[in-house]
Amino acid sequence: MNSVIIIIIALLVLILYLYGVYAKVIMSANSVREAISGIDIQLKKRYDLIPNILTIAKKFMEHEKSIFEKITELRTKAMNSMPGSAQKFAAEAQLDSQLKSLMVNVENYPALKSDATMVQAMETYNEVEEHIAASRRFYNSALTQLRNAIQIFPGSLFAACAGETASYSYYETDTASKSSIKASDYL
Amino acid sequence: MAQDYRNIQKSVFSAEFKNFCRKELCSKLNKLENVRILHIIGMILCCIIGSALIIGVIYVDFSGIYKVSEGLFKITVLIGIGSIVSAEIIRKDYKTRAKDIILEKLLSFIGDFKINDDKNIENHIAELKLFDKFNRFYCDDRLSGNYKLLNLDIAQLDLRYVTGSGKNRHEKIVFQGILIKLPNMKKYKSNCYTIIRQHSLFNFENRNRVHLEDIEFEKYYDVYSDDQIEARYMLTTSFMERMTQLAKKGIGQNIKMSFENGNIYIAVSSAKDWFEIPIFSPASKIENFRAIVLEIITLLKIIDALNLDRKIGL
Repeated sequence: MNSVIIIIIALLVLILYLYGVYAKVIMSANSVREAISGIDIQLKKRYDLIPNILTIAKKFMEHEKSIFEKITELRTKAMNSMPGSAQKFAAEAQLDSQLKSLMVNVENYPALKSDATMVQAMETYNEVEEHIAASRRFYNSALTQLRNAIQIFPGSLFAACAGETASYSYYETDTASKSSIKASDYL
Repeated sequence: MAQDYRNIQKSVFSAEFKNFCRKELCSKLNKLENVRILHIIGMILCCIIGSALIIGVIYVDFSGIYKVSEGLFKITVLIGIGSIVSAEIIRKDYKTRAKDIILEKLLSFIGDFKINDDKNIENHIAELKLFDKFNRFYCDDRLSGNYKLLNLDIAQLDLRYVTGSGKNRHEKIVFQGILIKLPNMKKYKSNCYTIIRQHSLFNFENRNRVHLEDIEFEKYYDVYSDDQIEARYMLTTSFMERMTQLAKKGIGQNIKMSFENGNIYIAVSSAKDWFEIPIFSPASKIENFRAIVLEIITLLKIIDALNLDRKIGL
């Protein structure tokens, strides 16, 4: 009789433990989804801001049409890519790089640089960029937790529960950002 | 004077501070010295009367010289204890009066700092997520001022949580030390909070926990927030590095911090009595005033070390 009770208790403990592991996998997967949606919210702010920046910049930077066209094209491409996908990350990285070069070009137009609406737009842009960076850090952190949860036994038993989220890749900075900056280019 | 703690620190050890004390405080020091002597006499008298009453009544009763009734014995002992307690009240009264006489002037040496008499900030403190629940609130000193264009509010607080009564009374110190409030230079969602606490091995609270990528930082601090993205927006990699440096210097281990209501709150735990002028030291002793200035510099150093005066610093 006693041994039956012990076995039942042991089974209950095992079930509870496995449920805990299962819950952790599900929570981690949801956390990744939350992070992706967080990035999307921040990116949406950037997409909304880009036309405003371009409208202001166009008034002063008539000779930089190619960069405007490139940014518009990349914006559309990034907006239409699937959230959390490698294509989306690649499009975002390119858009990032183009926006940075636009901001560097703004330095060559003192009238534009000192324009009140442009100053405000750039401040908002910087804030949005910081939020995007923060949301990407959250995404990477959530993805690490999910990968740990589904790759370490017994979490690996529930890997299928995490569904498609396991296929997500880490956000990494583009190669241009990793390369060293030559100060002479800006002087 | 330039608003930088390094300049203040340099001047406080130079002749400039001595001249300031002579020029600005001299007229007040005689008054303070008289107050001090009167308070010391009061304290000594209270202690002598109190001790004499207690020792006397015990001696008379136990030696059999006179049989003291139980009621008279209790009343005498109570009066004795009351006298000794009065000595402490006199000491505290000196502390308050010394602050009234000297501190305001002394604060002008640091810059735009003033004593803030409004200590009715219990509700505001109770709303903060930074501290655990408390039901006893004491605000000893409150200073308001401006440092590097930041409006600072510095308060010495003692927060406790008391449960039960009589023998079952249990008192827990929630916080004892200095709370600094300064505006947040970054646009932070006003309805969100992020709390940085000292790392604890026995902390199993996982709700709203923010796991950050800086392993060194995670060794010293635990972070909680109701918005994972806003928390990371505030805690940039460079800010975490600065917090880690602070912890390595031994200062950060006593610090709790929160970003909420559009402000930054820094709580420095310390049981010592801040900004106090000791009663058993001559009123004209410059070292006492220097110690107060240095205490305020210690607090300003934290703001500088974390670059909280700059948006980019965060």
